[in-house]
Amino acid sequence: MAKRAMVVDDSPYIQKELVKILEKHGFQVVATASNGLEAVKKYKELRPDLVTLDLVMPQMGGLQTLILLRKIDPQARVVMVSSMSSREKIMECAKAGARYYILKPFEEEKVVEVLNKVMASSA
Amino acid sequence: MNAEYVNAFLVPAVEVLRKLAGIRVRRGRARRVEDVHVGGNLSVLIGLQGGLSGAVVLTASREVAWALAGRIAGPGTEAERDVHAVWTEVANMIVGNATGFLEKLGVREALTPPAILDGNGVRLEFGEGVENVVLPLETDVGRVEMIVSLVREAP
Repeated sequence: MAKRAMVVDDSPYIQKELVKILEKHGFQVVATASNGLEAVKKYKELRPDLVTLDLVMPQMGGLQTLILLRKIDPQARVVMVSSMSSREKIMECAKAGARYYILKPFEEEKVVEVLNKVMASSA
Repeated sequence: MNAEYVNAFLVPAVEVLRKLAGIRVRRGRARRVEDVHVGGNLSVLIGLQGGLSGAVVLTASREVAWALAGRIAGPGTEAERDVHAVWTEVANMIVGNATGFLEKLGVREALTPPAILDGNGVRLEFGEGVENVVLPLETDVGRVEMIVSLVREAP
């Protein structure tokens, strides 16, 4: 059965790139979202196996979204995909339960490596 | 403005453009300006708040912006909304990556989501005490400029 994913990013370009990578590597992208509010709503409805999540977004940013997703589902597999390279931000996301942090601009191979590791690990 | 702060944006600007578009990027000579005029260009503005406050603007002529978007997202990238999306994300990556460099300089930053500026006669004013530094980047498809308009906040 295909692994189900949701892509959360306010950039249509990044959404398109991540969807392309995920679908090429065996994921079924069940939803995309452009902000945290939309992401939380869709997560509750669809319960994807994995979420890729941007940090800086309008309406509700990625960190707050991550915290909410983990409250809804403590087993949620969330991988941050962000251009923010500050160590403080990365550590904040790790403490809030992000499984990995991928820095933009990303390479397809790195994304795939991380996603496969996350799916293989227990919740 | 402290040269290290300027470099914090310049280094990722060169890297992001090279990596995403597969082009050569050469730094031009930085210059200070009183006012920021980006009329006729496609520009993206990202606000910063923290140890440094102000904004960074990534700007290029529409011709260059379209050419770069095509190099980054593929030859079919022609529609305005697609070019806007790519250009916005380039600016987002540059400024986001800069936060890591700034953190090493002891400066912490929060960023706004990017805003597109597209039109003629666009002039930007950032208020008292803000220094505007224009950083030209010469690429294989033409000139891109990054305008760093920041003021150091009192600790």
